[in-house]
Amino acid sequence: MGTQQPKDSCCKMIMKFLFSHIGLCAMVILYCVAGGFIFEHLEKNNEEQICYESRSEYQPMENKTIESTLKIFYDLGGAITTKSSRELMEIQLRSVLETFRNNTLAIGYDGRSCDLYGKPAGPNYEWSWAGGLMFSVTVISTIGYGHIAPKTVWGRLVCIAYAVLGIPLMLLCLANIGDVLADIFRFIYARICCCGCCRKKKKDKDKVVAMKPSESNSAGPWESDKSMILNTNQIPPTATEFSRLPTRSPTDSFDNNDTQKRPGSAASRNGKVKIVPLEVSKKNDPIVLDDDSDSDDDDDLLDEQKITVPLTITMIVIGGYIFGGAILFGLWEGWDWLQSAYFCFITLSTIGFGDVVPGTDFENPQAQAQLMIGAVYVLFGMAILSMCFSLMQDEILAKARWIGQKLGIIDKESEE
Amino acid sequence: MIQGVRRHASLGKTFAALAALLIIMFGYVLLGATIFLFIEGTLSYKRPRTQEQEIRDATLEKLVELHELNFTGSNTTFRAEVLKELIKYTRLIRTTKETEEQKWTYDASLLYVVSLVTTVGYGNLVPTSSPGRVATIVYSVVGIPLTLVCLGMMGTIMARGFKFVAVFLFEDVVTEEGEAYIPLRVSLGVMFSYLFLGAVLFKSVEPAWTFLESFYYCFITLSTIGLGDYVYGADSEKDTQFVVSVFYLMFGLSLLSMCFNLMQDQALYQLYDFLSFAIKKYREYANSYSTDPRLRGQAAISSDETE
Repeated sequence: MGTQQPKDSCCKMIMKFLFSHIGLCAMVILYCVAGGFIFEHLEKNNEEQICYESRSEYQPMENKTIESTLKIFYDLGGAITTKSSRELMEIQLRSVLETFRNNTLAIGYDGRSCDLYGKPAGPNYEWSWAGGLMFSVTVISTIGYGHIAPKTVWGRLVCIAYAVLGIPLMLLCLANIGDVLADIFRFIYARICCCGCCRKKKKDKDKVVAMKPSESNSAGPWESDKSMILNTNQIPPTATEFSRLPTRSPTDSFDNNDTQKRPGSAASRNGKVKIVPLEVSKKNDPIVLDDDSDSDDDDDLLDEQKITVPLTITMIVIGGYIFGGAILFGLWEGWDWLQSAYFCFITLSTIGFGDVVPGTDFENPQAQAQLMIGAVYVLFGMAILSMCFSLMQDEILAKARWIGQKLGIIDKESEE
Repeated sequence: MIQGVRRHASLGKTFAALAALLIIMFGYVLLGATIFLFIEGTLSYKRPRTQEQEIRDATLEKLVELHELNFTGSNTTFRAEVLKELIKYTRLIRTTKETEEQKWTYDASLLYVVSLVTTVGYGNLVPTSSPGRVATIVYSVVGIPLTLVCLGMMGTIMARGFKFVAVFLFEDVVTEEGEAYIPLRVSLGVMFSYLFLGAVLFKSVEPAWTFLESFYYCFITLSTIGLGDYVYGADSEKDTQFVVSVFYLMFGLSLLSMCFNLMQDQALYQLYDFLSFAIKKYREYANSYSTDPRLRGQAAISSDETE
């Protein structure tokens, strides 16, 4: 029996590391890097093939157009140029140009020299490692630009599998990071702004617990307290909404927040802060205070307002990040201000149209660097967004509860 | 909050709230479709057409000029000059292509708006004008949270309905707490079936797609990645085909929300159970093949314990 325990704790230590913040972040980054290599390998050759094929379709068409043009000039552009013959010439030229345009768009060859792929003078691969990295990042964050997309059968199958594994991983990581960053932010904010309030509350021991930055909150259901796990019916609709967002892993701390309404569980949780084998404490946020302060909802709101970061601050943080990104990409890519801001917004909201993407000008030698910085911007943006949601959820929950009460959906008496 | 709903408020109130939310949602989407149809379809429509014609006329002028300059010159240099002009024209074609190709019908606009608020973001249709882009941002800031709340509520109610039906049909799913226990595989099965059905559906109505392409499209859509290389209805000239995508997406996301709801309590708990089980089994396996007789004995003990 003795030899089993070191292995026990060894495995647990490994799992603990894996699910700790650094571990998760590293896993996500490694996953993206690996994805870059995988997709590059799967799609690069196909990209060259497509280039050669479309070029071989395009060039005869181009030659034909030149011949037609020369013929028109020869037939109608002779020494005698009457007005009518000149008009006829223009009409015919126009139609030749229109046909040329339609054919060019249909073939889709954009003039790049296929032989020089990857060489310094030639075009950059769209499916370079940096391009694959950007693609991987957009897949697991569900942004999905689509400026490049896998065209091979294997590329598509791998894309699906990559997403099935990557999206939950990303959500888990973001939930993790979001909470940590939110705690740090709240701590700094409380220090800066609420020094007076802080001293008053220090008597309350929960406050101390609340201020401690917690480790992974995904330990929720890891506890053996079944009642907490199965009582997810208590999750308000907004919690489910947040569980869809990048901030929340399926094991949301919302169930924790609401189950805290039962004093028994809160006490057991505080006890469990130290006992949980993986040393993962529950996310202790200010709502814990509601439990022990035996107050009604108005007081709760007041308490929360003293500690939670106001909505405006989080909006400013998000706005600031978008603004910063707009300036960065505007200057680097040469976009105008609105286009950059539009790109940043569409990216961070994970809509991701893909009409405006950094690093996609295939003639720009800096494209690789632009793609990488773009990917980094996306990942950081997701983390910051996650932090902001984490900060906002308290206020939004409180407001939603208030609205619900006003509308009569929820009765005034809180759940025991 | 939901516990309060269940125990105190009547079911009618919940459904009324959901109905009100859905009406607001539909109204918002339809309004948005109209707005974007106006901004992009009407307000800006003339511009790309004119721009394309301008470019063509400019190229035409250049060619005629070349011809007049080169009237007595050699054929080969003239040919080379014409080629150069054509290449320039190709470049210009490419840059104006995006603005030209878009057809903002009401149907397409509807898909655009839905792809905005669900954050799918296909990109087959994008705003190219400045007011269009500003409108996109403003519209999304309101629309995305609204959609999330809507989907969240739909998911919660559907989950309750699902559990109710499960209890009704299978008596043994009820736990001690009186709650229906829906195992993880059921939720995953529901999602996979929806994907599969969607793939079959789109394969049958879109003749150009293979089954894999159809499945790929459904997956990319429902995960809200939305690459946009495949969009149902984009290839055909018929109107109203985009609406099919809209319905598939909206219902699929509600289903996804329901499954998340069902999975929340179970997911990590089951995963933890599974991992513990797997680690235990691995240890037994490792010990049973170990050369150390003590460990082999322990493997036997631990396998006894599991029973």
